Amino acid sequence: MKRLEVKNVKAYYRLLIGNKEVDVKAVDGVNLEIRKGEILGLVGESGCGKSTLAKVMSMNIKPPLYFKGGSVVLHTRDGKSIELSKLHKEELKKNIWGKHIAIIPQEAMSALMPTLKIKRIAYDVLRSHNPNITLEETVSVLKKRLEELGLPDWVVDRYPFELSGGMQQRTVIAISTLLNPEVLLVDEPTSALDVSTQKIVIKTLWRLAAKGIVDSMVFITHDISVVRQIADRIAVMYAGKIVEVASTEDIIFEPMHPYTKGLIDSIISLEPEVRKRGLRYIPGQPPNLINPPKGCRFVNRCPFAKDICSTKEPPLTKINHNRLVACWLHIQG
Amino acid sequence: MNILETLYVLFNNKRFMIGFGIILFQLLLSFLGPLLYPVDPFSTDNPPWTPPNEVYPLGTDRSGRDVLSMIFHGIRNSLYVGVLTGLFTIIIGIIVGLISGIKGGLLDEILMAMTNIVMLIPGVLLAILIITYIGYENARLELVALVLSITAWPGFARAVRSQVLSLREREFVYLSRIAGYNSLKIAFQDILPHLATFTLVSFVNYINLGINGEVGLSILGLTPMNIMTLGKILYFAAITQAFILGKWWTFIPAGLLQVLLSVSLLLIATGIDEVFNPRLRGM
Amino acid sequence: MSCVLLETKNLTKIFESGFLRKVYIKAVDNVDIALKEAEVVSLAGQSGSGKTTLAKMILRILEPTSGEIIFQGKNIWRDLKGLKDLKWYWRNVHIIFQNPFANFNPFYKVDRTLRQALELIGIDPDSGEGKKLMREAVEVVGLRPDETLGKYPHQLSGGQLQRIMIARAWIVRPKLLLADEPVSMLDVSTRGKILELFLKLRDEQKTTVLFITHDFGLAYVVSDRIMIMYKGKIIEEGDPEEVFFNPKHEYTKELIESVPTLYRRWKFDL
Ligand SMILES: Nc1ncnc2c1ncn2[C@@H]1O[C@H](COP(=O)(O)OP(=O)(O)OP(=O)(O)O)[C@@H](O)[C@H]1O
Ligand SMILES: Nc1ncnc2c1ncn2[C@@H]1O[C@H](COP(=O)(O)OP(=O)(O)OP(=O)(O)O)[C@@H](O)[C@H]1O
Ligand code: SF4
Ligand SMILES: [Mg+2]
Ligand SMILES: [Mg+2]
Repeated sequence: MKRLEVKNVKAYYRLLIGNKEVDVKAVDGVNLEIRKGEILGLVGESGCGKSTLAKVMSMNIKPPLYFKGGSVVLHTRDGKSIELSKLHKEELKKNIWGKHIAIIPQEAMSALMPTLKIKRIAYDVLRSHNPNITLEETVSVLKKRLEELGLPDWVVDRYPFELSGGMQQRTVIAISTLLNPEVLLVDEPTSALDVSTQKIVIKTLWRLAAKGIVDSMVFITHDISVVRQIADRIAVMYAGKIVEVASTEDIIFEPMHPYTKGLIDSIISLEPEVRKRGLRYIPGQPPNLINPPKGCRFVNRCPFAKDICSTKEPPLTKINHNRLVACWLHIQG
Repeated sequence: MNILETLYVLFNNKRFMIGFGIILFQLLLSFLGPLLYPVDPFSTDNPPWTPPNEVYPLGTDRSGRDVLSMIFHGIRNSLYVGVLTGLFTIIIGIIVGLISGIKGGLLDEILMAMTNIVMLIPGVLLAILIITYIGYENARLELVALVLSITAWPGFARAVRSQVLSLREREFVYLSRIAGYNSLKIAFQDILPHLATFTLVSFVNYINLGINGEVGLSILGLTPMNIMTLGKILYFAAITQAFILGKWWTFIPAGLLQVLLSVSLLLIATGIDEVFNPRLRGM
Repeated sequence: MSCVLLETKNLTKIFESGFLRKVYIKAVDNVDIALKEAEVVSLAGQSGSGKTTLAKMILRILEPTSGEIIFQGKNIWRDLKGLKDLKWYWRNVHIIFQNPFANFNPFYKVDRTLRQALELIGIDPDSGEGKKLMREAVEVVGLRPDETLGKYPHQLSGGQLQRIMIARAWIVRPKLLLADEPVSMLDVSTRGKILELFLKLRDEQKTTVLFITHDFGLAYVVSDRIMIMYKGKIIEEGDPEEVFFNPKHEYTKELIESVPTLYRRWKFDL
């Protein structure tokens, strides 16, 4: 069942303010499980720690970010369990990244080497795992993959800047999953694109999963309407914590956590329900992550807050086999 | 970023620090030197062609001028010409570039035509013309600097203009405009601060140009005869065939100092650029 | 029927670029629009369709290649002369530019943009009234004055800067507000409050808002009327329900199908 387990993980950014060292607690005690064969949407507003959590899931951690505690365990297709948080950078680079976990970071589109043709970029990627591969072999592997994903094969001979934004993004997706990793982490793959290209990129990701090229996927975005199109489950993050995890339909039609409710209510889309509902918003601002409040982090904005909320932190608790919620309204104190 | 912070980062930049150190050293030489070693650099009462010894630490030239004293005075005057050239160039360039870029239209066309014409005239020719017209006996260092800036400002003015043209289209400038600010206010409040780094770097580079240009004009014999500069020292060495006769002390120290001055100014310019540019781009 | 505030006639802008071989881009192509008093009109269209160019011409900072813009009976490119006329115009027609970072001169504190607004409407920013208005404006957009005033632009987030620009518009209270993607950087959960402000300006101040966006959902929810722009032309115009649920133009239909929906899931096949 389990593919990747994130257990009680903390990852902080160490900052120097004046001459005092402070921690930005971007991921602060996160428990999350990615199941085999699922697309998990990770949603939350700007700055809540989504990208940091993605870095943690792949253990791609560089200063000022540091791993404060917890564990990340990967269960591979051939039945092995690897504790990624115990591995060294070199081992991760050699045995994990690309092979078992592919990461497409938020700035991926602009990260394609502008001076290399697409086939050369793919060649470099494959060669780092298999030194014997030739350029011809790379091209044939890449062409096959492009076809599977519905991309034209002429892109192999192009430079990145010769491709449109959507095409670049899809090419990045194709290249980073050439080795059929078990897990793909994509961070905001559609936010820089306009709607019609957005749809094509979403479809490409869906195909990647439907064809089993990647087994599990974590799709990070601030836009629930985008990820809801393909996600099986959605995890909602707020101020460094996961506050609710449930099936996509449950999150959208029966949100339980007050923040999820507020968020779904504030979404504006091109649907009659939304115009009828009118404009909604959650008053207030998220807390800062240097000194987060002691109890529930949503307490200053929550319309249902009770006494216990500001003193004790609600743990992420199983409500039924398909839903976890961290809120005192739904769990016993 | 306040001024103190700015200076702090600046002085933490290696290039800037090295360059600044060298310049400071040369400035000290040029100011303390004449006080500690009060010898007239033009006096010919000493024995000619004396190699360095206890009495004449850097020797004398063919006419018996004391080289060390020549150098002390030379650095000061060379720096003076350099700074003056930098100032003149920057001032003319900024005024022309700003007006041209902000006002646009006919005025812009006239000013740009002017810069193009000046740019087409070879600098040396212009210098020879001006200085022979005035007569180099009457020429002073200020005139040398002016002549050098006349050939230098068009390049700077055009660079300023093109920066102004792109700044003018920036949203914050539009916002000042639609708040009713006139061109002058926009030029001073919105445009000039953005040109500050570029101008400072150019200023240092034009100081350099002034110092080197003065050497060039001196070697051609186009600078005032009664003022000692690094260029003049090299000129005296050249006309007395010191190079051929191997009288190294008359030109090597001056030449080295001249190169050192140039290099340190370049270091300062790149240092300033390094410190400020990424910051400005990031903001 | 309320009266027309501003209209454009055959408005066209052609950009010339390229060095050796000239390329001409028709950014705005023969546009006729009319904006009435007290309405929120959305100008929606994809990147590069000419929305910002149209707004800049209306703001009278970009000269049209041809065509006219009439504001309250005045042809703004012909009849406004001198700084006094222009100031009158900009008091009545103001803008919030698209990119919040570009709205601020990095050398000055963010207060400057609000002080400019006060000066424009003839209030001394250092007077008691000026200071009060400034704080009020910042609070109206949901920011805390002590966390934002006195800061430099690079110390604030895109969303905060965007809200300060809205505060500026709130101080000026123009008759026509050109709002170019004014909430693009705001979080979903706080956006609603700001959008409400535009509607409030419309209802209480009779402000006309030209709401420029590429987000069809936003356009649908906030506007009284929609204009769809495509390759410099207005290809569709009308009531939101009509435009979005019964589009005439192929392009509009296609785009609407790509807008992600919250309550409905797309179907893909392999
Ligand atoms: N390099 C860094 N140094 C210091 N703090 C950082 C750094 N990167 C991120 N942070 C802080 O950590 C927190 C979480 O950042 P993160 O990038 O994970 O958020 P996010 O949810 O991905 O946001 P977005 O939707 O804007 O991408 C934020 O408060 C951010 O300011
Ligand atoms: N100053 C300029 N010089 C040359 N071309 C320009 C200039 N400004 C805009 N354009 C071109 O005009 C067209 C319309 O641009 P405009 O900025 O108006 O689009 P837009 O609808 O606002 O797009 P976006 O949603 O990306 O802001 C584009 O093709 C653009 O490249
Ligand atoms: S724990 Fe309390 S404050 Fe937090 S979301 Fe639940 S009810 Fe609101
Ligand atoms: Mg992120
Ligand atoms: Mg635009």
